[in-house]
Amino acid sequence: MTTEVRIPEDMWDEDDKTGSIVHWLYKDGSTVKEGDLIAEVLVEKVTLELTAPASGTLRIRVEPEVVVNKGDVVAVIE
Amino acid sequence: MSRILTMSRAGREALDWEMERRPEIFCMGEDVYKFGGIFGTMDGFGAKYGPERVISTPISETGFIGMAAGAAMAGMHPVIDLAYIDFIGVCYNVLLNTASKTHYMSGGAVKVPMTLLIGTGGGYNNAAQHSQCLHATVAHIPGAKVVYPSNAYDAKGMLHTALRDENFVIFLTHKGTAGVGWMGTPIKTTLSEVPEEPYTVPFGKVKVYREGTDVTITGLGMSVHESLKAADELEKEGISAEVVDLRSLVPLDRDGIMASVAKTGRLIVTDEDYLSYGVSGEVIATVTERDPTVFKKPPVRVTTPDIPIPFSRPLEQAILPLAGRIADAARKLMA
Repeated sequence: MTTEVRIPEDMWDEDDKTGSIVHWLYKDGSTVKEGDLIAEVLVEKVTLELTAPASGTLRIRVEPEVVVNKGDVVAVIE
Repeated sequence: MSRILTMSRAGREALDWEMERRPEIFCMGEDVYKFGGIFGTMDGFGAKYGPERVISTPISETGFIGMAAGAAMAGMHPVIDLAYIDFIGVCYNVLLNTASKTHYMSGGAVKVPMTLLIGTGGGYNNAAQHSQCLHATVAHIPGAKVVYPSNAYDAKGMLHTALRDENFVIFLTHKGTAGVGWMGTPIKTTLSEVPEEPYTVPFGKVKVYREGTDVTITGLGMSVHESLKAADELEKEGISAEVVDLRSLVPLDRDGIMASVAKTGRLIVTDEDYLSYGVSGEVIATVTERDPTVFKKPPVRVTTPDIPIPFSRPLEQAILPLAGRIADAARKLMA
């Protein structure tokens, strides 16, 4: 089973703002547990936390410094 | 279980672990309660530990550093976020004459267990009053320990060590290495696999980041990472550079420095602090005093010159000890 890792719609308030991944805490292909902090997301000067929605193997889809919007798929967990 | 952490997050983990177990530890500084400090070292601590243990202060370093030293003498262990080292001027008396001297002057009766967290350095166009390193200025004071990790693994282990120290520790982090998002994408060589469990990294030991045989390049903070970049370039040209991270200025691992230079016979000291009267001279003096015959060529310093840090990006980039200048110095030494 595959679970998409999306930027949560409620991660920040304003819909017109974009963010970017600062840093993945696990390498592509690592095993992660549901609830683990897996990435840091920067919006303006604030760093926000992205947690794993499921347990499994992390497949990173979006590298740091690429602009992301709310709802974007940034990884999948297999 | 380990994760790849930034220095900021690794340090926060150490502080959180110690605070959970030791009620004498409390945090103080500007913007620490809600914002968690400018480098996020206390991120979320206000909500977790409450306003009595996470105290936001006015812009009043003279007052709150003095309070911290008093609290430490009375049995607490304050952890102070002083943001930028450029601000030490206004609280220098407490550092110079109180926190660092009381243990000695009381004949060992009064300890000052206090950890001062300070960001250093430039490279992001913040001009002459917000870009200085000044680590030599604090390392010069007898009675204070001064440590300077450059990667996440050391940041966590050395902060545990600092928090368990019975006396005053100045804990420096170059802003550009901290890995906070507003400073840009974290530098890869600052990130480490960090165990979830607590561990300590001792003060006073250099870390050989990369082994080499032709030239020793010592660095600290950001200049370690610039030295590593230079070493990558030099390798392509057939020059084998050994990169040594000083990690700790007081105590300084003079044996570790000597061992590397005795092996390579050539020394480049990189330092983002000002050239004169600083750590770079101290490193060279260490080798010279012990055995100047190990030098195949005179040692070289690659540092910030003795001028105020320019705001202009091209000018600032020209004066910082970046990889290009370090590699050029190595090429000249090998010529």
